[in-house]
Amino acid sequence: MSHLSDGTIVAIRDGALVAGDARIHAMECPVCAEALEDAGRRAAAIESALSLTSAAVAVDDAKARVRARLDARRASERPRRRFSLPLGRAAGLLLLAGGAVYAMPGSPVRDWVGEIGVGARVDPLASTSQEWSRAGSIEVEIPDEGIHIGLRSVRPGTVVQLLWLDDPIARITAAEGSSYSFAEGRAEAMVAPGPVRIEIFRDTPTVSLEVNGRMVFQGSASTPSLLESVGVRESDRVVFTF
Amino acid sequence: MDFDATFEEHYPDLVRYCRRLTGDGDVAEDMAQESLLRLFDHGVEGSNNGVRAWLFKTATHLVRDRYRVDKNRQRLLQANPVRPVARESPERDLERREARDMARAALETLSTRDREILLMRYSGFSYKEIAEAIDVATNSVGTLLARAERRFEEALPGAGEAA
Repeated sequence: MSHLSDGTIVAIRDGALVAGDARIHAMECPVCAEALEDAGRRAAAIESALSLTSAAVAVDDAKARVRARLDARRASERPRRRFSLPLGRAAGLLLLAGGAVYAMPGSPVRDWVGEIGVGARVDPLASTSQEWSRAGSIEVEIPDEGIHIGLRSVRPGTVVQLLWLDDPIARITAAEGSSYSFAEGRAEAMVAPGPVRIEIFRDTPTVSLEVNGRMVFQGSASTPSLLESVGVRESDRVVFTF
Repeated sequence: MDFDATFEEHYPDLVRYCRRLTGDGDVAEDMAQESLLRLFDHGVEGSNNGVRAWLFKTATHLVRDRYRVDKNRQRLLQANPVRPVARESPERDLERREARDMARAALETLSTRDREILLMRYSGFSYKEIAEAIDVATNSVGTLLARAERRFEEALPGAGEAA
């Protein structure tokens, strides 16, 4: 067996999961045993150096501040946060950048929605769903528990960006010719060829993203979980290439 | 989850971690408090170790978001010089301050990922927890950590003799 790599040596030192034969080798091979000893010395030196950067931490004031912020946040929560749009935004209910509203026959969301006539204006406070609509984007409010985003007809090579923003809504923007729908806690798009941009309020507790029936993301801005290797996480976004 | 007990248990370590990560005491406190706020606000529940890992992971991402550009970190570090913890004899105080500045300067030479992995490891996290927090594969943590340690050691004069 050749000598162990530095990574394996420190993994053995730290008690991480390492193959049994590597552990035996580290004990039997003088070169690796010395490397293990060096790694232990290095760890002690680093520990000692880092301990110098420690300082006393005042807990009580911080605790009071966080408790006050938490109380304020809870007090300011709206009593009713079901899917709804403010009346001021009703004129553009679907916000749908100028597109005509149309119902798509055989829409998979018919199960969740009532009948809505073509071109109908919907009272956003009375309705919690909308048929497929053609436009440039859709914008919906996010319920307390989070939101599910579904994309369909995504072609190979499509780039989908999931961005965390401060605006307290969810928005899907896709190429011209895309269709959108929503129901409480979910928004869907049948996308035309071209990039897709999904903007989500950064404090949303749970976001799930399903693409062509595959769940590719679940989590939040602070605890994202990529379920598919097609995604690359950056500081405030995840970029998927399908 | 008990607010007081959870706060008292995790906040000091979280602040120290963020302080080493950012080089800025005020920002470190902000990040640690924000992490705890989100913990309670989102109603995160779990074992003590699970909660600790969640908090450190959240803080790591908050710090990343805050310092997207390393230059900004450098600027803040220069604007926030280290303050001594307690008064000792002038000689001892000076020695301690020098050693601390060297440790901090050595941390500064590391890349963001090296710094995160090193600090998570020396905050007591498992390789799996480190991997989840900094978005790398668990089986690459050893290699990345070994590299980060060597870089830190090289940047830290006399670290080899300290043990």
